[in-house]
Amino acid sequence: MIKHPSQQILENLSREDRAADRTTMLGFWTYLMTDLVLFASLFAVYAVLLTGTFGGPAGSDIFDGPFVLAETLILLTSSFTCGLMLIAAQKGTRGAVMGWLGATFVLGAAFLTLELSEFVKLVAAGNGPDRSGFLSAYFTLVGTHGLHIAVGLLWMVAMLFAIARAGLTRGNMRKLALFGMFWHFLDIVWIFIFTIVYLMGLS
Amino acid sequence: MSTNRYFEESGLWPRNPQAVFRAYVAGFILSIALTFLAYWVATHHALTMPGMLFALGALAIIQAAVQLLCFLHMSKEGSWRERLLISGAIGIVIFILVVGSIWIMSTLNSRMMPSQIQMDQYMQDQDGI
Repeated sequence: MIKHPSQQILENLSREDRAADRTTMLGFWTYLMTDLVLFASLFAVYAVLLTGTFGGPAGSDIFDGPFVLAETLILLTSSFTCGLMLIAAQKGTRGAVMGWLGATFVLGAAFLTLELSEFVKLVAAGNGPDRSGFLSAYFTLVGTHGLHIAVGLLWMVAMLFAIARAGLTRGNMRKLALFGMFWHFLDIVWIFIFTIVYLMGLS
Repeated sequence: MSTNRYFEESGLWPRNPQAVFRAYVAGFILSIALTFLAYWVATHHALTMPGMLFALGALAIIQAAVQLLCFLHMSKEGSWRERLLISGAIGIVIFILVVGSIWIMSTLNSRMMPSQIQMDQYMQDQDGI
């Protein structure tokens, strides 16, 4: 009887199943690359509109160095705890997986909260995305990244429920692997946002 | 609990799982150091303009490479040939997109810049503001 991947336990995987999962991983990697094209185009727009401040504030007027450094370190740590989660998954320790998944979620949520508070502060001061071309590009680039983070948070909640219900089945392991790739990818994109938007804006 | 080999067999991890934990720790520490270094370079104005941009850019690329290697295990494992091919193809697309956009828009900008006479006339029309 053929079982659904969410019910298959890892010890019984056939070669075809493992090959199928390899293909899925590669496919997801390809999707991440197309996501990179999306971010690259947003970076290009940001670069073009850098000087379009239209009398409004420029980067150096609105960016807060220590605040962004804290955001960066939080997201970096969440990428690390995500890795620890994958290591626990390989060991088969379900409790540790849920613990590290929870830690990654808390850190990711903290990052998103900080970023949203920054956005709210800017909009309240009249410097929302409609203020100037520069601010439109800034909100779109950083906001798109934040949207990806929000999706990752939802994914983590779903994984916590799935693992609580069925344990570390083949389907859940595959999804954890895909999530790991996704979350690491978002931190790599953030490195470039941190550097190009904030550090180059502040200097 | 037993250790399964699912991540190695599905191509996520290299064939040496013991090295994975060390890679994560090393990558984490290196990334923190590179982040602080970049932050220091940007806020202490240690370098002047073109040098600063190159330094920050280099630090970003190095940290991305560190995270690709240590977190995403982009080493010579599993399906690295396919990943390299896809990354290379996308890299070309991104290069054309970013460089092309910036080149075209800055050329457009300079071609649409009014001449000095026109700018003086405009200043006059604004009643000397």
